[in-house]
Amino acid sequence: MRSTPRILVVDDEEIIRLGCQRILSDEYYEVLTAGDGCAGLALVREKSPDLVLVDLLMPEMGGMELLEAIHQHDKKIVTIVITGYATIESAVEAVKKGAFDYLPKPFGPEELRAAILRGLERRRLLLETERLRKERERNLLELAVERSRTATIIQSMGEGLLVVNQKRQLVLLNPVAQKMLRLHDAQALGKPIEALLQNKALEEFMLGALAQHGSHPVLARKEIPSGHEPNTVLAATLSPILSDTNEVIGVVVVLRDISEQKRIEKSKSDFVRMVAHELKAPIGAIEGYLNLILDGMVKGDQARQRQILERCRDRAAALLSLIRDLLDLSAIEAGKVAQEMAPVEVDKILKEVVELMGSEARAQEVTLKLSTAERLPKVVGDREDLMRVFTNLVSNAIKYNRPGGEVTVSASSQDSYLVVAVKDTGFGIPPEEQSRIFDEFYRVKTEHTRKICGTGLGLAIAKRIVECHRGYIEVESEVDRGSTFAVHLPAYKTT
Amino acid sequence: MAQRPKILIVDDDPDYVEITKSILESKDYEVVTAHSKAEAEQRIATSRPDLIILDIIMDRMNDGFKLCYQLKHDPALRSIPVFAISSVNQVTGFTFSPETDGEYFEADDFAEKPIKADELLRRVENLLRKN
Repeated sequence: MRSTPRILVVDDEEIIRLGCQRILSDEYYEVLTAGDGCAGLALVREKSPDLVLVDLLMPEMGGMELLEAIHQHDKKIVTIVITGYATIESAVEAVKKGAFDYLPKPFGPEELRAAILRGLERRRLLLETERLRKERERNLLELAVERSRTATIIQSMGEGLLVVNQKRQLVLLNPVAQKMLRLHDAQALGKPIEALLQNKALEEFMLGALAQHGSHPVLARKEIPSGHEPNTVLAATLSPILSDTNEVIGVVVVLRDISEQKRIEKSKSDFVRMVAHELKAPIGAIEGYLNLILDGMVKGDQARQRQILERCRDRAAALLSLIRDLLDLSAIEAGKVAQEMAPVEVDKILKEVVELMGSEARAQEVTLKLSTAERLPKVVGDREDLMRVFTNLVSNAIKYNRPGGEVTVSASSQDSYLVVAVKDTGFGIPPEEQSRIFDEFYRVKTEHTRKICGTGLGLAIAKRIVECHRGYIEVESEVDRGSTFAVHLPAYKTT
Repeated sequence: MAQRPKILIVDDDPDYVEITKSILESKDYEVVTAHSKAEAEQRIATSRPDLIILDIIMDRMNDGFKLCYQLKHDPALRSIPVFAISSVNQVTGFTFSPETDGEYFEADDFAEKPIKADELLRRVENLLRKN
């Protein structure tokens, strides 16, 4: 309420208006007056007084009518009716209808003050009640919002969530958990989990936690096969819900699908296994050859001994390049690729590669040719990395060729790509193997390739480098006719 | 059995083939070689060996397995002893043996690479004698 309560006096008799004004203004009230119902109502609407004194007998709009209008406007405005003896019954009627009190005429200052004080006390209560009601409403609203917010969060989280109480009943379940566990029973809530879960491992995990008591119940994690699809694994994190007396009264389980992680772990361990195998093979071969010599199985045969030593040397060299490739691969894995990105002229790189590989081509009796189109676009790339890719492709094209064969390196512009093609006239790659040649350690094994040393990592590395340059690499091949490897790199726009 | 027992070596690593061949020839065995599953099948068909030394990890990871399975499920060939030699060990967590892999892997003997010459010869002799 205002510190200076606002009081409206509505009476057709000026003497009453002035009297009230004089008496009340002394008491630090703000007093407004109106000579008829209509003016009174207008002031009520405009000024929202705390208390209104209404004369019941007025021409135009009568007191009763005004009272009703005031109550309709605002029930918290306290009304006191002023009444002569003739209208005492009406006053009682008015009180029944919502007026707070009546003041019979004639009244003195004391009676007026007392009535006003009581009226204002009433007003204070009404306002306080209203304030509390509003506050409660707001709290309820907040609570409701809070509840629906929590529900929304639980419904939308990416993990599955389920809660079970001490009676083993499912009490909460979000859509993700529903999907993970295939709990499509609309009436699932409230049912015991034994009846719901078709997942023994999870059920035992939860029941085990429910059975814990006394000692410190702990958070537990477990990997659980989903049981619905092969190779889907769920990580369940379970935490007990404790009462004030530290009794376990339920458990919360959060489920996360870790299938992808598991798949990656598996492919990593497969990779380690492959690496171990690839490292072991040349060492084993070298050791085997050395033992042949040491065990005297090639005594006196000079040429054979020399041949064996040469094989040892080749296997050792191959082992070294394998280790180098592995280090490169792990550097690529660690993101150390495409580091020095700048616009580069691919035809210059190709020229360098072709010069570099000249002696190897001659040694294999292979003709190496370069043909690049005019005005090639540049590409944005790491010069060293691209050099590596093309060197690898050209080296393969020479190695897997036949004596008297050819290798043609060409560069051209196609759409928004610069395409480098390395074409050979070698053994070719069987169609069923073409998709696998970019896999680590995958090597096409035929009569022809057996004696050729390779780490099985060159193309895997090339593919990754090209992809880090937002390009792609493709192969076309025909057995006994040759292969063409094409590297597509996004052209650098100078505009 | 012929005077000189015939042994087929199946391994995709030409150096292992070479080494094993040298060891066996030093003891006067007749040796035939194959570098792939397909080649091995051919050799077995054209000249039946008295023993097969089989590399378990061949180019397609399970070719050795498959070949072993085929041999042991072929009434005409199952009597040929298979000496499986693997190039993966326990460190890599990828192991198998006739005990754990049952009917899928019924090799008559099993060793890991690298195998010492005298050990290889002793086991080969044993397998041939059993037969």
